[in-house]
Amino acid sequence: MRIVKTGWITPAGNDEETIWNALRMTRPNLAGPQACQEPDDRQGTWEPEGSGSGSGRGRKNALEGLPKKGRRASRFSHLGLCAARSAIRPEWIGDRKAERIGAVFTTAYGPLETNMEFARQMIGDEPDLCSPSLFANTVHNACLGTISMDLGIKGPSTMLLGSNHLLLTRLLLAEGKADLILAGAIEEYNEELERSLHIQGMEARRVDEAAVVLALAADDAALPGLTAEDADIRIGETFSFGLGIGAYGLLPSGLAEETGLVGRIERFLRKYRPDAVLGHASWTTLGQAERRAIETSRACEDHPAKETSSPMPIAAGSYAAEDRVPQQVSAGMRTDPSAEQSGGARTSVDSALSEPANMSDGFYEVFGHCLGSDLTLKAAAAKLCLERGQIPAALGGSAKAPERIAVLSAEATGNYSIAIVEKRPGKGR
Amino acid sequence: MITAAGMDKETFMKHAAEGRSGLRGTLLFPTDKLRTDYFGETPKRYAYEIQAESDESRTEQIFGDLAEELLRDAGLDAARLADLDERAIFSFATSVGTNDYMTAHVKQVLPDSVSRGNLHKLPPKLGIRGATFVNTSACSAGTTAIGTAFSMIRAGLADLAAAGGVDPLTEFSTYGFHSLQNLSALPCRPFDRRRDGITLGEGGALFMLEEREAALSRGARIYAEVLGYGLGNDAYHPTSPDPTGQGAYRVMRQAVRQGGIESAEVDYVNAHGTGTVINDDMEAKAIALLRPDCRVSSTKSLTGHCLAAAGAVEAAATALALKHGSVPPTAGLDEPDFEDAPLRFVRGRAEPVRLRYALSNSFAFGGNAASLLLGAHVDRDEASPEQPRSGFARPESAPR
Repeated sequence: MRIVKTGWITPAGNDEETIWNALRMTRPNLAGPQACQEPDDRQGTWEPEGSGSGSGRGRKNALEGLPKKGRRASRFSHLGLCAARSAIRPEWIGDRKAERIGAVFTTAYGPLETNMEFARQMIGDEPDLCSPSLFANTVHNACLGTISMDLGIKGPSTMLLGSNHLLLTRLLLAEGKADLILAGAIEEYNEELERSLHIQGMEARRVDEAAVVLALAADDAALPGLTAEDADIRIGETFSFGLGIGAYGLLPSGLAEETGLVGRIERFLRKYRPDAVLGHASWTTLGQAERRAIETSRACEDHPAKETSSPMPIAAGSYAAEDRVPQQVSAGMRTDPSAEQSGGARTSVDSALSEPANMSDGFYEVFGHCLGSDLTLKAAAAKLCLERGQIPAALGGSAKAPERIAVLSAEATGNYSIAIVEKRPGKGR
Repeated sequence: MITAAGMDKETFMKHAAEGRSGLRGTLLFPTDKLRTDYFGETPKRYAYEIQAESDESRTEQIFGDLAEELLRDAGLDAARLADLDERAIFSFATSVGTNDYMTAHVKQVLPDSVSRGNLHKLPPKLGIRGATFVNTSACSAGTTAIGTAFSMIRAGLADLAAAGGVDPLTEFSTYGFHSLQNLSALPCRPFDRRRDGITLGEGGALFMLEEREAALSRGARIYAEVLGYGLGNDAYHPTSPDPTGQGAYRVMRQAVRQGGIESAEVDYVNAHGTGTVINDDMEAKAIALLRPDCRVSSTKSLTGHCLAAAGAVEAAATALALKHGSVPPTAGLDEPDFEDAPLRFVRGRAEPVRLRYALSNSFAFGGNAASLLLGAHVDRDEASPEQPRSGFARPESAPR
């Protein structure tokens, strides 16, 4: 299935150029948790229900233009709506039946701020004083109503928790139930959640929020105004299995052995031979297991690393490897001089490093860990790399154009997903 | 299958045959400030809330009992499923079942536990090591979860799929529907002229799905065949369905088309039938548009509204109707509304009739709509050969 457009609401920016510029920096300007800056392209301000407690982020949203019925949407839904609006062209909707365009989303914690606010009303033990509109926004799929009403789309629509929205999208497209599906992920930041995650043993340095939407179309679907270049990138394969453990808690040291994780990833990498891998950070248990799988797959005789002169890019001099504490950079961005000389990316891989191929450490420095949005965000970042024909500095740096990138993510339900993002067959490989 | 109308499918069938509702009072939480005393609580007393990190949530407890029954009934064990590795997958639905730790955190019973979850513990109870899908599309989740499992098998990506859903009865959902003024003062009466809202229930149902020939070859008991499903969004209102019924009609039509049958062949619709004025009015219009003289009932009058598990529970009721030739009734339906709609509401007691094809509908907040098409399974030696279709063979015609 082809990625025909993307929509982003992330700590690193809300459009591809801004995000790409952030990825080109060897040390982005990160001063702790980053608030998603929601688009302010419409008049007026709007205070969403369910945003009153906790997070301290994204205070105001501009929402003029949203149908009146959708104005009571939560901030969670609004994040998804903003990303969805960016991922679709009006002519696609106007020219097709509304029921042929769908939305399949995922999240790890859903509209948690709204749920906690309603739960606090509930323990007040005065049911007559509980807010009905707040309750209506507690369901994870409320965002789908907001998005579908706003865009006027009526196709297959469903919400998953930490699992397989890309695979379900692929199935729905293959069955001909839709021509285009907005496959999205939303995670809303919450301070209490971040504190709890760290107490429970999550290894992420920085928890953050993001809404990312991939507009996915069947390989043979024709969309008005879509050029070949627009649809150059596809998700070639998706695969997942159960870890049987909660991926956000304290992971056992024997994780790789208990779950067969290394062998499963290795088999996948050997089969699909990606040029680069975007997985978990090197300092995490999952990241270390992934690195063992990458090392093993590279050592195999049939791997292209042995057959060609372009091994997977190596995370060169990752600032993340300098220590285990999040960097606090007060101002400005530091650009790698070699990146400037080469038009934005390093021209060579630092072969002195002994770390296995990995784009991941820099990814988490730029975006933080966006929980249920992790896989989609990685797929969107991989698409950017493939389109721009390079691995940018923050992701390790390589001027050689990648043609296929594997993205790996462990999800809240214990589901572990791998997706191949690649140039369309015939376009490269 | 675990509901207020019985802790297993045999008890459910017995109660359904008599039109005996499981709706009654609850002691799980105080109800004196609510506008109803009626709930669909399971007969077995499961612990209500987690008090310690080692506690099993109510969802896990119900799931544990369902998993045992599922494996026993399917003639499988966890080791066999584990041997299938990635070829056995899990497709599950829940909504308030994800709120256990959030509630414990807010109530300060387990501070700083809000990030914890329990869903990763469920597949290992069945030995499943393949892909996990957890659907949280509120009241349409259960139907969608079964549809997802069907798609995985149909695409050849799985050999076995455990599918279904569990949702517990909670103060959270009760206070929520109270605030929406959606709770019925009396046990709900779907499609009745005096209907005034829903009755919340709890429980769940699990299915083991596999390709028909594989099930036959291992001698599995087959309840019904999944033939197709439809998914859509009304794009109309955050909590109310499109009153014209077009959204509901679209997903039923999509399910029927995928199943390769004609609308006129649908013998029975297990309606979403919540008992609210708006839903039942909309749904009756939609069903009448699809199949004007179809048999219709809502088993929510027996079990209560099991929210994300409703689709699974009602698919189970539909599969049992297909297998046993007995259409469950709508309890409390004394004066059917919709005089203009020529629907055949089944009420009072179960109606004995052999069915070929049946739909199970689920609609949700957020405009989500889903419909599942099931077909009666006819043993191979009873039926003439017919070409298998996408891994699921079409059942032979059976007398109506």
